[in-house]
Amino acid sequence: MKTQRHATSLEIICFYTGFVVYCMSLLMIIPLLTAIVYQEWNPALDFLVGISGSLIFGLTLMIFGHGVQGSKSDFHWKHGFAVAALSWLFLTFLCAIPYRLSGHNPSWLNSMFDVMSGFTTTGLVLTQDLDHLSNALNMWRHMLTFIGGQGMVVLALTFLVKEARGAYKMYVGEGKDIELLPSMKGTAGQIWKISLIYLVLGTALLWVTGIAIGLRPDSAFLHALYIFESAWSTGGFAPNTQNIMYYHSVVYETITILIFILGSFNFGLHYAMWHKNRRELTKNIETRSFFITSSLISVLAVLGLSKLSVYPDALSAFRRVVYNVLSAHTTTGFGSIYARQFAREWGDFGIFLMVIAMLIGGSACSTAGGFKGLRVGIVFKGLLMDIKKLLSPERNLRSYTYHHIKNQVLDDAVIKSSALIILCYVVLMTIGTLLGAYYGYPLSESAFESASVAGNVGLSIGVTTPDMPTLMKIYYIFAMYLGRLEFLSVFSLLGSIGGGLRHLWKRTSKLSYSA
Amino acid sequence: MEFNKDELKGILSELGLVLTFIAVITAVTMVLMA
Repeated sequence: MKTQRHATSLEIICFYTGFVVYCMSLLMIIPLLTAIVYQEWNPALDFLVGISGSLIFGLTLMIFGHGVQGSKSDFHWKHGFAVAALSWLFLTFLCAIPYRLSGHNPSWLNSMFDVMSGFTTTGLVLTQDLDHLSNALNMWRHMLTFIGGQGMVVLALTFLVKEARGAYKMYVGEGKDIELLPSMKGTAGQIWKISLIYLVLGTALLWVTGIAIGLRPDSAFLHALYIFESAWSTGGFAPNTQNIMYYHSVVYETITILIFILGSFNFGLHYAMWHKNRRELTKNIETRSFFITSSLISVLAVLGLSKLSVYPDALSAFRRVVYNVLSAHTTTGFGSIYARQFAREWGDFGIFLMVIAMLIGGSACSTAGGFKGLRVGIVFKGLLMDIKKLLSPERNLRSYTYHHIKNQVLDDAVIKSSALIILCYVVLMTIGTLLGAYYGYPLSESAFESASVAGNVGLSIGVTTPDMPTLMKIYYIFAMYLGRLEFLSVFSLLGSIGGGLRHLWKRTSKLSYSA
Repeated sequence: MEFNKDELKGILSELGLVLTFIAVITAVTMVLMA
């Protein structure tokens, strides 16, 4: 009887990582077509090179791991985490090819910074002369941030012909952990359905508004598409250097607020709302947490800045203060003031509030970053639970719950894991702040930029520039990556590499000893 | 991709609640700046 061989860990990781890379490389066809439509021949060539390089790399990995097909493969959690973490790393390099060839980025590091910023829906930019980018590269930048918000693994799962073994583990590895349907392919499909329906509605709304404020219809459409992709994915990219100020329109700004708040909500919440569970929006612990913290920070920021007499009336306070607070809290990063205005006009109080908003972020399993309203809610409720336990005569007899899509038990393990992730974000932000201070940036500015990076926000106070120190660029890339994948996948990948190296070292030592 | 009446109601509920939030926060800003 013929026994089926077991696929090795390396084969499993190579095959699925190759598959994600392969799917992403096919998407470069869209900017290539854009280049052809707009007769941008140099960018078309850049994308042809990018597609070829990515396809060759992805297919090579798949061929290397082809043993997975037709063999028994035990897909462990470490494989899922490694596939997610490695796909993001490889794609950061491969998707940077058109950026580097465009001439708008003087180095690979700057190109990879912008790609990581797009994938992680951060929105910080090192690309120069944004106002004169080709339509193809603009299409690519905004597609990257849109796809990054959905998740590359989610994208790849929707391409699968049948359910893959370990699909859920790859999906969790990308920082998403809600099962909307029993199959992962179905869940990925639902995530895309929600986003694509909002894409049509949001783009149409922004398009009409764009025409009304004086943009040419074709230009208004492209702007609408780009701004929707950025807002929904809480990315913050815009096709011009002035970001959202370019439009000079309170209506346009309000529509973007609507889109980025919706984008920062959990996909599970959208799914519940769309399936007759309308009270979920007001019952859910993370939306409650978001509405409370964002209102509180907005009120404090308006009070603080009115004391400094920076903005003369309510309309400008809404457009310049509340807009930026909500943009920071949802980790979008659209700015309605210039970067240096934060440093010159907002004072330490305003900057500190923005740091808090950026670190809290949006919802879990959404396109947003930060340590998430869910964890803030859980830790706060855990604190209340401990106080109640101390005061209650029944002490440990009572069980406590919180509502997130369904009622869930609030136990010490949940509180501990939430607190640990929050701690990881604070450490990540603190290291970035110290690094900035080491290079001579003022502490408050360094903290602002570091929080923006760790929380995948994208608002800048002026630290992120093409001539910033190389070490800071590398750290920011790493921090965006860690913040987006919520640490677990990256730590697991590092653990697997460390374990593999130790195993190799032991085998080599054993061989040399026996020789 | 199918799209039914319940999903449309879901979208309208989401839009309504977020718009209400924006309206409330705008009103609060107006009061604070008055």
